Amino acid sequence: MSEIASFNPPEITDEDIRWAARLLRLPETAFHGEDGSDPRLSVLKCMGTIDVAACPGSGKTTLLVAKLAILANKWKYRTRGICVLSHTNAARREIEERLGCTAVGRQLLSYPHYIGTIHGFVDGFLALPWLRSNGYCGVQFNTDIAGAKLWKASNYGRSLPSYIYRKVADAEIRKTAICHAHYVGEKQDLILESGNVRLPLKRQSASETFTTIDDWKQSVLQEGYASYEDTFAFGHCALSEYTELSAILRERFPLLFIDEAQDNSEEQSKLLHRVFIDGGSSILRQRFGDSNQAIFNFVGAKGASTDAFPDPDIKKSIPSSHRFGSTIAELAEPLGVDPHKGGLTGNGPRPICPESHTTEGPHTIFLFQGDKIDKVLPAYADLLIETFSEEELKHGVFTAVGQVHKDTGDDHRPRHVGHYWPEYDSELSKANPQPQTFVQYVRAGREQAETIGETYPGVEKIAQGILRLAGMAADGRAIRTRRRSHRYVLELLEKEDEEFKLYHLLISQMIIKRKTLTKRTWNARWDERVRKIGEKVAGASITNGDADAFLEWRYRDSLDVDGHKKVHCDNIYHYPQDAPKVHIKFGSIHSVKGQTHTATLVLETFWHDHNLDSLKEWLVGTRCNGSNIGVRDTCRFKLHYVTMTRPTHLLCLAMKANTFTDKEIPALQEHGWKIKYV
Amino acid sequence: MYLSQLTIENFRCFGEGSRRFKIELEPGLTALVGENDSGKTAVIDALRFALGTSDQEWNRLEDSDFHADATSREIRIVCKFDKLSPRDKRTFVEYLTYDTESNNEPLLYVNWTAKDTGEIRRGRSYRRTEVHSGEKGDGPQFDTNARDLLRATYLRPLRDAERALSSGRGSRLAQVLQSSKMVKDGEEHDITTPLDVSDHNLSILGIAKLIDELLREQKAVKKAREQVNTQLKELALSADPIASIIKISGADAPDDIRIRQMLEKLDLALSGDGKPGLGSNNLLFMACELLLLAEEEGNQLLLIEEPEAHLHAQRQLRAMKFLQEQVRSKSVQVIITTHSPNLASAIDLNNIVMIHSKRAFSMASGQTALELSDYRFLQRFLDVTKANLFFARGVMVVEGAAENILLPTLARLIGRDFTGHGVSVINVGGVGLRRYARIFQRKDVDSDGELDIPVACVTDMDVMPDCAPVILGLVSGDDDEKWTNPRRKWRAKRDFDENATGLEQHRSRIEAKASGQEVKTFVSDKWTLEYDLALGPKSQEGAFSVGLAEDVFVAACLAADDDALNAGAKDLSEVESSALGEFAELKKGATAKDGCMAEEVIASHVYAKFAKDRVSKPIAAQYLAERLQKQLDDGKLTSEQLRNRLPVYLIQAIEYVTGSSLAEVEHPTQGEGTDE
Repeated sequence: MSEIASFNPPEITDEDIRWAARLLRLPETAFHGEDGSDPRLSVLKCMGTIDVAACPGSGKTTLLVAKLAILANKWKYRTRGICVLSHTNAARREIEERLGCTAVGRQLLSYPHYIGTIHGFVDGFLALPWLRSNGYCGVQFNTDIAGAKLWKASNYGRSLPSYIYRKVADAEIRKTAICHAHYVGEKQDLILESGNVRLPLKRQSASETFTTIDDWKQSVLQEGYASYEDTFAFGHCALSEYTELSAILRERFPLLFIDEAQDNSEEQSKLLHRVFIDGGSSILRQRFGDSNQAIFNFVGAKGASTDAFPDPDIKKSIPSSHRFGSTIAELAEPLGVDPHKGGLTGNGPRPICPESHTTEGPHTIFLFQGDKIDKVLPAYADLLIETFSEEELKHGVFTAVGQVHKDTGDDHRPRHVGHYWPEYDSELSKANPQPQTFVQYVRAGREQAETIGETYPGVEKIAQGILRLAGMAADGRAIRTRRRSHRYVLELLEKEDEEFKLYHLLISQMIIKRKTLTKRTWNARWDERVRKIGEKVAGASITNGDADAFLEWRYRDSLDVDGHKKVHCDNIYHYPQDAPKVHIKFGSIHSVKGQTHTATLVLETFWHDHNLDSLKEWLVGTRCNGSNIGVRDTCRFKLHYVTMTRPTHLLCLAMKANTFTDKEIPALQEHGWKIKYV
Repeated sequence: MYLSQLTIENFRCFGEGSRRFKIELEPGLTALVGENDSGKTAVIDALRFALGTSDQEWNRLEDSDFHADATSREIRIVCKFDKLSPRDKRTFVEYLTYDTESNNEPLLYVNWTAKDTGEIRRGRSYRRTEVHSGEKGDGPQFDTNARDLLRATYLRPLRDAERALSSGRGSRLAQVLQSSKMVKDGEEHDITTPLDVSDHNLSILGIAKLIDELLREQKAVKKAREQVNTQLKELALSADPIASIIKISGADAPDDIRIRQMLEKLDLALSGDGKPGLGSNNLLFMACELLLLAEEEGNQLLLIEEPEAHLHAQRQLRAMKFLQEQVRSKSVQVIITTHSPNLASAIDLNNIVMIHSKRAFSMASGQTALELSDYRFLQRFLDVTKANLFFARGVMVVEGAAENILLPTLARLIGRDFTGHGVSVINVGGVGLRRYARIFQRKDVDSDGELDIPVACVTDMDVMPDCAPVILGLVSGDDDEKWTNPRRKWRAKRDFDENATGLEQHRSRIEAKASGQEVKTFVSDKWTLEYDLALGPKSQEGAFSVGLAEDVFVAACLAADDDALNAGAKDLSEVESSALGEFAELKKGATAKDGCMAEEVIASHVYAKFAKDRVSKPIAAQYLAERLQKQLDDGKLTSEQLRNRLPVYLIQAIEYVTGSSLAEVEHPTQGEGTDE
């Protein structure tokens, strides 16, 4: 490791902090606290390497944004920057929203700083430069396309090495596993992955199986495609081959922030450690997160062991929440696996709207008989109407969430969210939904356009759908990933083409005029038109099963902007149906991460066991925090800790009536729960 | 880092594919030289588009910027940067390409493309420009701030140095000062404790003078002046000292703007009496730019078009020397274009790139057929007059002053005017003829192509007719033992085979020393220029014309009496008529002998004037040139007649270097755009 040019971080003063509070339109004392003893103050001022353990609702992101604003304002370097990494673009979006129109915000969002996802960072600074330099031109990370090409390379599974047949018996799983084959780690080993099946193939073994699949991967790479999951392995390649690179990156980014640090996987943590920390001359790093809320993209994934968060030696705690009051804090705290010293405290909630006086509670557990499951929602809705004023109902955010939201079967009822509300569509609830059909693209596009009141995301979504379809053509042109999909589609279509006009018609009907789209109109007209546009974009015909499935109509109802039927578009439950007073948003626990609700209903679901049932003792308050609990339970704990810390005013659970014995009921009430039988 | 390679496609005079422009550059100074319309300005403009310039001037792409014959309407300019410093690496880390062939050293590519989409927006053609990184342009687009760090500093030709240095918005001086860190130092004035000025009773003018004084004496301003002066000292000739003084001309805004407003009140001017000339201001301007560049964090690339502007010859040399020193000490890269042989002669040959026929030909060692010893030789002898060769469309390299004087006249008289054809005559003064020729020969013709400038080396065969040794008194007769003296310096025909193949071999040997690509050696038919002129070409019947023998003889006689003629002691026409009489005698008495024809004997006698009587060849050449000119003017001689009397090798050499006929030259083909 060569010598890193010295870096003197700017000093942060009380005046700076007051400036940042004003900039973010917060009270001047927002970070100081009434008496100046708020732990947020010392986190803001600290310019050493620290790990900040922040409880739910502690205003972690705001704190980070404030700190970044101060630093950017005092930044003197033209060729060195701040690096802010996270799993989602939440931090970036937050800066765009809160500081976007200020000079300091624009500075932060552009060169020489980097604010974005870890994946984006590894892509841009490691993997793509390595691929470029090694003659792989314009590689894009698209697991779908790369997978399809791998499958083709395997002669549609006919040329698979026998080892894989021995290891993976199921044909479907075998196909998914091949399509998801990706490189991993410093040694560029291969992993075949499908659900819970993980088949590692070591490069060192030089086995026939490894070599065969490696060859296929290489040929797909030559065509310009890699799996999304390959990124980190290519990142390691770059670091191994360009020995200076980590020193260069440390010079460029002498200051690193990691948001949501608890969610770092081992692979991410290892690579970031190699870039910024390993071998001395490390940079200044501040990680923000909450290990109690560590939940991963798929259930069962493990967190990082390298450089685990938080490091107890440098940990700074923010245990006070602005979100909820003391009772929710008490009810949720037992589920925290890594308790805060002195306990979780609730300083909230803030009023829902100007004329609002409703305080916390009553936090209720709905106990239902198996055949009454469809009555749970009305009961919850009634409670909401009872508790909150009309104005509050209009302004508040009301949700119902469960750990399992995909349709995973019908046994062990209640197994998933859909059992409470059969019209629930799990695809629409994903944080970044990857639609399965073109119609879902239209839906998602409409929804996004409606949320922000601009047509732009809707148009983009439809364009993405067209590009996805074009990518399915067997011999079509290579479809690249571009930031502006709509422009890209327009570029690929010729102005004189009939398809050019059709595409504009599609956009205008679906997004601008928001015409009703029914199964009948789709099958009668749009199905073929969209295929034609796709074929023109691809420059080839599209006639395969994948494309047919993509263009299929899968919904019971039409896409309509008419208020009554909108129900099905966006997973919002309206109650009462004929004259709705309350609107309840449905979703998975993953989809509500980081959100704040007015009231949250946690639904019992099933994963190896009934989830809330398993947490019974902690809900009653007879056990506290997680010592000696298994991996599955740890996961369950964290997920439910996340949901139970969402609401500001009202926390409800929906559980089977037979979960508790009669003797346990008083204990529940004693602990702060109201009980309602359905 | 430095710009190591530049490719330009479809831009102005540069075509696409194999006809694109490609240039390899060395670190430090590069001088682009070449005749007008060769594409020098297009190269600089391409860099200005691709990298942007620090004056933030925005250049609109014109329709004529797209190459006329291109099939695609896309301009592509690729800059490659090499030898990145640690700072460069961190600055551009996300844009780097690692050179897998050279130990994974990082390189920076800047791909600038402009596509004419054919769309018309608001009445103007819409052109989409993009700047991507990556060798093939497949890397990410440059962020605006990163692009700012790539900007080059550009000094335009015939720049109005005076205006740039005077006060007002965007004044360069203000920019120089503002970039100096000291400008922001010092205390702010505290309004709450005002200076007690109530008693001073200052007039407005008084206040202005006070402000002037304070501003002038401010530390940073003083310091900046000192820095500029240090630079100027380097630039100025020792006997001709120039120094600058800073004069002052002419608030709620942010500090930066307030400082700028204050600084823009400053005029930079040269101290001394009277108004300084354009040249001095030009020097001052360059000094400022170098000062700015040295403080820059980004790309330290300086583009100067025609630094010779407004500078007299000595200052040009001095300025060039200064630039070269700056380049060595500050690791800046400077690319200049020049039309000045003066400047070119002061630049290390390694740093010169000739632009010819829309192609670049680096003169760096390894790129030309020149040997290392040639570089050392040329560094010593490539002076101002010889540096002309970089700006020529044809080059005639000659051994001595006589050729230098005579050949341009002969060429003009036979309708092949050298000036009109852009031909430079390089007089090597008897040494290193071939070294100059090798400048025009490429080491790797396959990749570079030929430098299609015809180069004619004119040299002597140096074989005298067998009658000559006796005429010159070198030997007394056939049996003279000097014939067998091994240390004999001269050669006669009889030294070679009877059947003349030996002579031909001798000729081939001379030609081979400087031949190949566009370089051709023309060897005199027989002996020397003067002898061959006197002898004339051989007719089909086998007789020599001796058409110019009389003229050469007269010229030689005039040259012999040159001093007396100049002093007025002798009369020109008297000398002429006596010479004519002498020549008539000589001609009458000449008969074939020693196996030589009578013409050869006559010519030998004529040449004896030079070889034996030591008449100055250059002076004789001058008389001959005047004499022939007069004969043509008087109608006693036609071009056609003269042409028939000239030795074949001279005609060939002249025709070779003047290749195209005059008519074509006067209507040059499509060239680079002129400066806007």
